[in-house]
Amino acid sequence: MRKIIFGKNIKKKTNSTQKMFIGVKRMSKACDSALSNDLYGNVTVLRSIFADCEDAVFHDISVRETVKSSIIYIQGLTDTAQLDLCVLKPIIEAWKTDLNLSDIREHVAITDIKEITYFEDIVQMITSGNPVMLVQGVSNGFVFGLSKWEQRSLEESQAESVIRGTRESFTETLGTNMALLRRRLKNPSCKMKKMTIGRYSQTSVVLAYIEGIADPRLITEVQERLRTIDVDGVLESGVIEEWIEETNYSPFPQMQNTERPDAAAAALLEGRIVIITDTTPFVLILPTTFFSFFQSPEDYYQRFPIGTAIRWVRYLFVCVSLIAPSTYVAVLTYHQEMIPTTLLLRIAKSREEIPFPALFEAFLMEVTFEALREAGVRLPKQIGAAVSIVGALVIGQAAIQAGLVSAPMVMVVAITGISSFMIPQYSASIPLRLLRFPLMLLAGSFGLLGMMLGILAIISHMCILTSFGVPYMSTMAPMNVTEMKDVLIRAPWKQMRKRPAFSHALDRNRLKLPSENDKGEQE
Amino acid sequence: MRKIAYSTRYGFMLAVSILLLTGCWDRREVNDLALIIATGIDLGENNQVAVTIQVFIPSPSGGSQEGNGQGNIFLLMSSGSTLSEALSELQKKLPRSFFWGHSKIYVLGEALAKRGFAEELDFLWRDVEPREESKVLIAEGSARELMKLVNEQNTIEIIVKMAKSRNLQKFTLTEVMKKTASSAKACILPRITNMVVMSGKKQSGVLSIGGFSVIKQEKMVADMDKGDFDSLNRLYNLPTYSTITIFPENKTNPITIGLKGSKFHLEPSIQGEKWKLKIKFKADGYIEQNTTTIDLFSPKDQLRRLEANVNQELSAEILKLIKHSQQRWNADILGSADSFRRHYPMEWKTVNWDERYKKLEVSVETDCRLRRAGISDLQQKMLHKKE
Repeated sequence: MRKIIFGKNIKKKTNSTQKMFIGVKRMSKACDSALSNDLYGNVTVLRSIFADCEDAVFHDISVRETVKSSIIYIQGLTDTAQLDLCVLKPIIEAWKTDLNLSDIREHVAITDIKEITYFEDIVQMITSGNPVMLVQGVSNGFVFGLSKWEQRSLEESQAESVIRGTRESFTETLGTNMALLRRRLKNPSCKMKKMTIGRYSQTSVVLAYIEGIADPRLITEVQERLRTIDVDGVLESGVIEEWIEETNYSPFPQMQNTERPDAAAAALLEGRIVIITDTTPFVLILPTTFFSFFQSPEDYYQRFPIGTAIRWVRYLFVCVSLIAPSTYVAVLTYHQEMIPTTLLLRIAKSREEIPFPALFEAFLMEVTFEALREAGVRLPKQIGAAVSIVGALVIGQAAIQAGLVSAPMVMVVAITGISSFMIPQYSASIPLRLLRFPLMLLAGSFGLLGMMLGILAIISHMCILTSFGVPYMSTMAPMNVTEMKDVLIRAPWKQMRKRPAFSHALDRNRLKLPSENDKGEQE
Repeated sequence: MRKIAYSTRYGFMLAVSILLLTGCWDRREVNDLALIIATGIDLGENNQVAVTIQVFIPSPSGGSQEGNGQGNIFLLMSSGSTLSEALSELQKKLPRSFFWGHSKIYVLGEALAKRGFAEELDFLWRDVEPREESKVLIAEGSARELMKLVNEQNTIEIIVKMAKSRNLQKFTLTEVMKKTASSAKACILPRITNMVVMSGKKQSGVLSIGGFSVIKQEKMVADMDKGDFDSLNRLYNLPTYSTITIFPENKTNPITIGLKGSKFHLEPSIQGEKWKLKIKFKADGYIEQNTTTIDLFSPKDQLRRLEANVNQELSAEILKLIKHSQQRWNADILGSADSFRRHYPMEWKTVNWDERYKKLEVSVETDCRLRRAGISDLQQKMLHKKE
């Protein structure tokens, strides 16, 4: 077995968790000190920390004209109805009868109560939506797990839709996302470790893996890399992706992202690691090989011959999407003898009144197509229909009639456009769309020779890439024939006995060992 | 800038300059091409070479209009002391550059073929552009006249189809090259004629293959007659199928048999002074038409009996062809010279093949298997009843 060689370039920086509260420290030096017995003093410190924070609510509870307690929470992040019902009401009732009540925990009807003693922790709890209760004469703060905010309900996946498969997709809420995973892997060995990243954003990031399957060296390495992240805010998992990947200077994504819980669970079962980031529905899957991007969850749910066939169609159209326009340019500019005569005559006729060389024509159309695609994504939904109408005009009959482009070119652009969306992972189709342009330039200046040089350069670049020590082109380079069962074909489930080799799973066997099966049958 | 490694900087500059400085130097857009479809080569006045080329120059299809305009087919004519000179004269006059990549046929005029066309072939072989896959044909009469007759809108279609057809697969420029370089120095080339067809009420000409010419040392020796043409067709399995008619019972009731997948094999042998050649011919036959009373479906296995007749007939015809090639043309059209050279390299060194070929003792062994008798023999049943 090959050893995983992890990237050497990642420098160990000073532990960033220590730096996390720099911003808060500036506001109050008292931040990392402990609470005192004096309620008024504590509240004053907190008020100074949350000065000018309109959404921070300080609610004082007075019993018989003495302030007994104060509850601090952020408006909109806390379930105030529950707070009133389960905290305020029973405690006020209790205080009415017994003023010297010391342990309020006996009266609060909430499962999640923590006691904390430092301002640092209190501030963090308040900002993440948990109300904190400070009591006169008690040097601890009580934290109630009552955070609740407006959240999107579970919807169908927008970026990766399937016909057969779960309709749920991850949402912006970390807890929901963890629950979605847990519902699929009801086993305590599915571990979810939490970290906080981002000095200001304080984003919770959860590292999910299955103990006993995932390679512990990989887990340590991922944790190590996550710790080196030193940014002010993590607003999307893309930030984390760029921080922990080996090579920034590459168009190819070195991590998969998905909003499908079933895809994430499948990755966990393969011995890979899933990173869930709060506030984004996209989780990261790592390590990743190039061929993982061609595996749609649906491949595994439909019957295997269909899964295999569709996978092949995808491979075919990936090639089409990368090289179709450049082949057209090269053949039409340098290698006219390669086209069947009758077809060439047709193309010659349609190109006769086009004023531009084939290369320029191809660039014009491809850039226009990219512009249309981008506009279609960015424009408000109400204008979407207008864009598609204009788009059909731009890439279509009108362009031909205007004499700007020839009909075959429109065909090539159209097929290229369609084929780039064949890849189930959107992030994997981006590099192919991007690399099409240099290839076209090479084809226009050196013909097929230049195109081949370009393709060789792309392939060698892909062979250099690694994703967490795993060669990007794994199962092809280095070649592993038995692994082809999930790359070239989608073998029937019963045949996929082993987990993929590239994840270096501790337990390679997906199914029971054949010998165990045999024993069972003999008995 | 200082931070970027020198190798990266120079690599980038190199890449950019390679891309930009070369500037697509041999770029040739389809719009700038005059596609040569067919080339006719004739013997002109004063022993000059007269060349006729049929070029396709696309005419714009005009946006979304039906686009049925096939473009224009032009016949360009010129002459010069060599083929290449004549062509370069034409090129000077034409703004578009000639493109040979889609040239389908080279037609040699009869007069030129008889004089010998070694010089013209030299250009076609030497130059990079003329395509080796193009077919070489001999025109009946002048190539120029022939091409004038068939210069119509749909000519290209016809020429493309013809060049693709199986009959002509063996007559490419490469094949001529191989045959010329072989020990026999002889080959056959198809002869092309103008077949008159009626389209609507209009008469028009269509190119068709009328027979074979025998070529020896890049010079046309003779035309084959119908019988030799047929037996050569059978030997080479040229069309998808060929037929042979035999008379098993009497002279009035023939059986026509189609032949498929025919193959031949040459077995040379030298016994003392006698050089012998055995031609082994194999083919599969099936009954196409039966006018006799023979019941081919009977359990008596009539097909096997017929085979003897077929074999005899075939052998006789092939033998006749070889006799002609020995006596009339003295051209080793089957290429038996090469098989003698391979089997008897020592004897080959001293032989005068032209003389030897005339004296060659040839025998033919035919093995034609009749595979199918057809799907019904209703006609035979009715004949039997009458009797």
